[in-house]
Amino acid sequence: MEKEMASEDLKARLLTAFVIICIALIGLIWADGLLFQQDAAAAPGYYRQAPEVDGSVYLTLTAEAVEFRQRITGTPTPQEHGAGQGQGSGVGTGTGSLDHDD
Amino acid sequence: MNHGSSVAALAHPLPRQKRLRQDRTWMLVAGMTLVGAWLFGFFAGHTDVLPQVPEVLPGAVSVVVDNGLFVGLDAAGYPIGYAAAGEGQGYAGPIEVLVGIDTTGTIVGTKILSQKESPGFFRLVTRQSLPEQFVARPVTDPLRLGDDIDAISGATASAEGVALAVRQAVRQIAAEGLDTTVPPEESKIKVGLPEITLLLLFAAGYIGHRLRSGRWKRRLRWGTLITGMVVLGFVYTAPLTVTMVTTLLSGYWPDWHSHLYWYLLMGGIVFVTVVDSKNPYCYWFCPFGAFQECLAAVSGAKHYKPRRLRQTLTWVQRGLAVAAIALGLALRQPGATGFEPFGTLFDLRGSVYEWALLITVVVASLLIYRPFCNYLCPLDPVINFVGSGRSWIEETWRKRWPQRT
Repeated sequence: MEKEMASEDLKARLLTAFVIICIALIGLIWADGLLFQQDAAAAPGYYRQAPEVDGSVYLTLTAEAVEFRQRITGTPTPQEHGAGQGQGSGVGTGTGSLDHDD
Repeated sequence: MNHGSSVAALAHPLPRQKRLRQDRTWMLVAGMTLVGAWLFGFFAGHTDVLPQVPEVLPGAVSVVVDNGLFVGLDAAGYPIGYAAAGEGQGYAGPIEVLVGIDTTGTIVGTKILSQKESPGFFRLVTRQSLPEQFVARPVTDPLRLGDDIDAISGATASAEGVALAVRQAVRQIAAEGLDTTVPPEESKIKVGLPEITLLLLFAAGYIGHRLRSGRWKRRLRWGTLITGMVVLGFVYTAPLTVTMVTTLLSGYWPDWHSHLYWYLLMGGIVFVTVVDSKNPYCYWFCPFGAFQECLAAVSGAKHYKPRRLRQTLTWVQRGLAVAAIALGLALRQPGATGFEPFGTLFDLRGSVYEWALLITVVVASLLIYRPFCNYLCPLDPVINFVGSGRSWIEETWRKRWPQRT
């Protein structure tokens, strides 16, 4: 009889422990869920950055590239050429149609 | 859990009158708590969209509101694009997405403004960068999951909600800002295997309640349990959850064309409980209940609710149900306050805590008959609440107008 009561008592204690553990885990699930919602609300948007061209960076890079090319090939940069003069002429022929594709 | 008997009749050692009084007091307190939580959630702060517009319209120095659209202006005051917020129904409630479109009709930015989803589902959406997939697409694209946008496995409803919200915003901007025509949203009724299975399970449960032969009733019940576990559980992961109850009470009712299953499940349970005074779900085809019952059948686990703990355990279960729903209503976050390990089992996805809860329940299921249903599940108290409310109204009616009954 006493043994049976002890066994019953142990079972009830185990059940209580199970319920308490589960409630603690449920509390953690709630906390995790609510923290996620907070983080999600503060998350930034996704966007395509518009290309912005910085003129000075472009020129600097170009100048560096020209200087590098000159150093390895020995070709003078366009500024080092003397002023020139030239004459030219040309003739051209062509065909056309009334079709247009718009 | 009350094993399909009258939902109002809880297995209590208390005298009937005392139990009835206690149940009704509980109903009133729970009802008032939920009404208070609902009102709190209703009057709580709303999202201010305007300050967030530059996040989806890069380069916008200022924003003006014109005809319901946000117009982003550059430093010289010229429009560089438009933004609008769209809304789509997810699993637990509406998902609001802010969409920015440049003047050539290309989507240049998206931002989730608000969502009510279960964290487990929505983590998949953000981890797989679903909102980013819409960026750099022209407004004339279909913008549909499985078409030009990659679907998110395991979070279909949440992903559909995001896509729907983006399309709604795009449609508004196209019509009012860009003067472009975008095809209208299709509104097809979604009927498939889950809906048909659900109707058959309700029918089987109804017949089962009326069967006199214990053997046939047992066989039918095992049939519905296994079908529910396989089809509604492992295949479609669509069991009833407390999130669905909170969504219903929050007023975030989804479009019935695309969410017919939701209406059949919620409507069917409420209808049978009110008309027949029986719980048609827990004992007959709850997928998680079926899983625990299979474990009990293997291990020989028996029902265990010691007399001295019975009252406490009943109140703990009721307390958990009220806390989950009240928290969801007050914060307007139905998805964040669900705690059932259903998705973790059937979808094999969840946080560390959800896995820990599932493992604890599975181990306990080998020792005790349906421990989650009997001590923790918030749905049994909810269905009892509906059944007890029905009985209370019926009794009041009989007392007040005896000649009409």
